[in-house]
Amino acid sequence: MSEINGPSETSTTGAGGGATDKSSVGQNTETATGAATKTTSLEAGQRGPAAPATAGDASGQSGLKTGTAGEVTGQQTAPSESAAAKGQLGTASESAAANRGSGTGVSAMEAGQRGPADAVPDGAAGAGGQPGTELTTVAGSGKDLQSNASVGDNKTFPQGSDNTDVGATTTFPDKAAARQAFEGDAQAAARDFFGKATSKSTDFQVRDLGNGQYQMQYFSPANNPGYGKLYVLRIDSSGSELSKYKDTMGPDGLIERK
Amino acid sequence: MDTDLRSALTRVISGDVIAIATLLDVPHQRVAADTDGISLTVRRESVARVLRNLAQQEITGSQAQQWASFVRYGHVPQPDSHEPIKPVRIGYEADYEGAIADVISRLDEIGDLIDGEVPDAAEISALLALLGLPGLS
Repeated sequence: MSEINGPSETSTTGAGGGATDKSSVGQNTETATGAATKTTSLEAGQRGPAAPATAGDASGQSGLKTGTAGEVTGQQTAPSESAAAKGQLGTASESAAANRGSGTGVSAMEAGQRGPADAVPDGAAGAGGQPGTELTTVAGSGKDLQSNASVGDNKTFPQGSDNTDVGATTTFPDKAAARQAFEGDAQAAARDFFGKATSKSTDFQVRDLGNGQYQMQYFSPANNPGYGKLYVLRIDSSGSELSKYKDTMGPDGLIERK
Repeated sequence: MDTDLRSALTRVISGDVIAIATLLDVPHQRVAADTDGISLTVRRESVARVLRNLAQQEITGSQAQQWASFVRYGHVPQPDSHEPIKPVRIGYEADYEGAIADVISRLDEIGDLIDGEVPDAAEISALLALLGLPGLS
């Protein structure tokens, strides 16, 4: 392998291996209700850095490596909360348009998803959750299955038929763990994306978007208290970039998208 | 490999911000193809070069941001492309990876509404210190 470095020393950046098949993220041990389980990733209540986690149960599946995951969760937000997020951040279709080729409704919700807990006031986008609390709800039941998802569990959240923005979200305890998120070519993308997070970055997550596509993201607090930036990258199974954006978040929600 | 392209890329990785202009004129697919199998690593000295050039106003904040974005994401912006992009994988020098990530992230923020100001001399000295290098004299 040739190398091109800066001045002086030599180092190696590994390339990805072979492509891997996409598969679901893990085995659902608590919400094994099949099609009755709907997971949305409105994530309005998903706040705060994930608690440090140990390795989860490997599910023997390729694609997203769950063995290093801290948490695999799905989130569903009450309709009113979702509406609040939409109202503040624009419609789902608008945000989807900002994310070329992506699924619908994803970014509108995510725009209010991140930031230090104290950066998101009650009633604003992202309200409805407590820092470090992640909720899993079975559609139709209203039953709160999980709060503060237990570390290391792997859960599968089947996609619902009425929302393309579905899939399990895996939260990694730190940057190093997130860099090992995948196998093969996709891992090179994860290593690259997460590896360039800052030392202050938090909330390293991967979400299975289906069709071999994944969304990776992390949050970097800004120097201005209460503000921060959410970096999002979507890739396909080969690790190619489908879209990326950076949301600057403030106390009142989305400030800027680039 | 295209020698001109390789030369330009080498210069960019070494902190020559101006050399990015060459890459702007080349389809990304070609850049990616020509760099396939090649290890690209940004060293702290390269980052320091950008910082010093910025302090000396040899480059603009916008140019520094463009450079930082390229080494961070592995491609120049492709606003008109809707095809998947295979980025050039660019790593950071292992011993200073965290510091380099912090500095490049800061440069990539230039122009943002929040924390988007061009670093002044004091901040550049602080960023150089973060890299374990002497500040501006």
